[in-house]
Amino acid sequence: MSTFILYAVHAALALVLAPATFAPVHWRRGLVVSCAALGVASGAALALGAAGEATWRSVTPSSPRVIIIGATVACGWLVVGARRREADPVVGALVGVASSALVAATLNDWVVVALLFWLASSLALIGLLARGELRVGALLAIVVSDLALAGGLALHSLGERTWTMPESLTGLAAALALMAFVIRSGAVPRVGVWEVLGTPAAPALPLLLGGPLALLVVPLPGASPWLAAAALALAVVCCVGALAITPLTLTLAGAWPAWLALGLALASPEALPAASVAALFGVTAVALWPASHGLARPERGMILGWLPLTAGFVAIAGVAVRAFDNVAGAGGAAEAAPWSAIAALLPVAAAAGVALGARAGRQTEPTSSDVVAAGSVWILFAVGLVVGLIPASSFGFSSRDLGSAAPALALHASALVLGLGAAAVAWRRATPLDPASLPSVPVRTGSLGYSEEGADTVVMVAIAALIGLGALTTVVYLAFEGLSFGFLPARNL
Amino acid sequence: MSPTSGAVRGAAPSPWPDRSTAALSAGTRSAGLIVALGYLTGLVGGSLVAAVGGLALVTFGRCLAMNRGEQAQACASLAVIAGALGVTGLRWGTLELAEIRSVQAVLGPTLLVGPELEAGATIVTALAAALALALWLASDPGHGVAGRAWTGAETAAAALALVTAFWGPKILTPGSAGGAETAVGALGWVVATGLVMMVALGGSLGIGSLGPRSRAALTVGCVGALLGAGLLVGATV
Repeated sequence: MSTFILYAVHAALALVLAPATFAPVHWRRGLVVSCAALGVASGAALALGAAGEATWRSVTPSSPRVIIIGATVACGWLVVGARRREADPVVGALVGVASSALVAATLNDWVVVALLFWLASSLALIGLLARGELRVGALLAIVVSDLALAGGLALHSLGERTWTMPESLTGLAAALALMAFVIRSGAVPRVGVWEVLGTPAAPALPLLLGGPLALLVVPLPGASPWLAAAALALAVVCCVGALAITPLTLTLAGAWPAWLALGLALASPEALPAASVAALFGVTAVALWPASHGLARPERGMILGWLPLTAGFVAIAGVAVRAFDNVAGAGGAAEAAPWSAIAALLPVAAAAGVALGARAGRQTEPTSSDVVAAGSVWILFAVGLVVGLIPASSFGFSSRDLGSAAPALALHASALVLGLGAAAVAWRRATPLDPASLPSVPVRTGSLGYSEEGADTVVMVAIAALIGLGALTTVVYLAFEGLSFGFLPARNL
Repeated sequence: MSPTSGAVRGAAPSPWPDRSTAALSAGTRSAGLIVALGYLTGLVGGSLVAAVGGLALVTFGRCLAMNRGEQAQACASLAVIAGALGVTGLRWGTLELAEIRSVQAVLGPTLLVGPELEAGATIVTALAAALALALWLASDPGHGVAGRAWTGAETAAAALALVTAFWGPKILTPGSAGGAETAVGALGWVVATGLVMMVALGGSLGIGSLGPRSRAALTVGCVGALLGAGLLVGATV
């Protein structure tokens, strides 16, 4: 019962927020921030406390999915609260509906039920995209991704004659699932879901990344180390692109954590929780950027760069050791080659992350006066440091990867305390430059791939509706096939 | 002493756009130094990757005071140093710091252990790493006496990482060996680390007079040498 509350609380918050549209502005603001705080707390409670709890109906809070989806909804609500100036309760309500639906989808034991909840979350997210101006590119990305996901899971279910969620996917089913992840998660920079950056629909970004991470990355690892190497290479490309292009393109910086998390999780399933949390924090920091520009710059840089003492570096270090062990223990050159590529790419990725973090940290731009938005970045930063202190062995890595648990924890905690002391001294003694002497370079946020001039919106929406209908039809077909042939295991009959 | 104090004394224009950046720079440089030294001195058991994490944190803190070109140079140098440490680990089949020290205590410094081709590749790797350390140092030598002293401590940590990977045996504790033997071992570490620091410092002074293109060419040369040596060592594993 208690875990059910954590699943449903987001939908309940939606019920509270939806009627608030008609309330006075200052009431709306207070309500949005209060509900967002409750949503963040519920998401955190789900991530931290629900793993291993009993199954409610067909929803099982198994680790690492529950950790990832809990962090996902917490990040979504954090962005809602940070954008309190817009005071749009409908945005909060839609995030609430999408969050509960995503939780029910990603933790579900049954494919058909999971897909139905997934499509429900997509509908809520599409509603979010329609706030203000409709973002057709993002709409198309969501429906195409849903069709690919439904197709991949249906192929698996029809092939195996079972409705249970797959533990692993291979062949075409894996390719479709991977395609769904790439399109929906924001791994493709500048187009698709990135159209929502800087709009009222920005809280959708963490939900769009976290959903596929929680649902798909469990059955995908082990597919191929070459895929992991390719994803890591693309992460480096996105990062270097973000470093090279002026002005800083946020969508490139935001695509880097998605590829990096995918690459690390494909290389080593143990990296999944830490990599997912780091990627979510990175994308959330990007989603918060337009509201908090000019504030909390270096903190945001540290989150984006997956630097040591944050969760991201735990994942990078763990996979580096795993890749190295696989190279050393490989039977031949063919077996060693992909792991060598991964081992060679990780130092580059780590250094590129440092450079991206430093660039974000020194990005001088017009300063926002929204302290709440900047406070959200500081919350992310603080939580990231706390998660980074968790010993690597707690994530499933062997204790030798980052040092044995207790001494490593003591060292990292001491470093953190001394670092805070040094920071306090520097804060008092530093003489910053005159803000008027600094160049003010706004970052580049999302852009419309399909504007009114570029394409006929009605036609594109009709196409999206057809694709969405295709996804729904696939799920219905799978349900009827399952009922006809009996896809339930004997223990459920 | 704080890594930012040199900037405060007015030896050079302040590099900080705001106090928050200065504070986080000092914090990450201090924390990174503690983490790197904690692993490299053997105080905490762990892998080379963890020590590289400390150096990465230091590099981030340094980069917060740099322009984009200097940031790129420092981060590329960090990648070369990390890669070089990985190549050494590949030779011994482990990234565990304690195991690397132990194997060097038995077989000798990684640089000198044959076969000749592999030893040669390791020497090339060590040279590339030393040059990368010089480039890393040249990207921002520090401002003022305190700032330079802090940069020196960071360079010592990076040099210690290279010495651990390429040269250093396990230091015998007084309980397991005589006092003289322990002192000689510790002195050897200090001398070797000091030597690498001198090479890096000398190199950085020379590099300081070079333009950005020459520095970029040197970095590319380091990467090329590292890739070649890494492939050679990897092929023989």
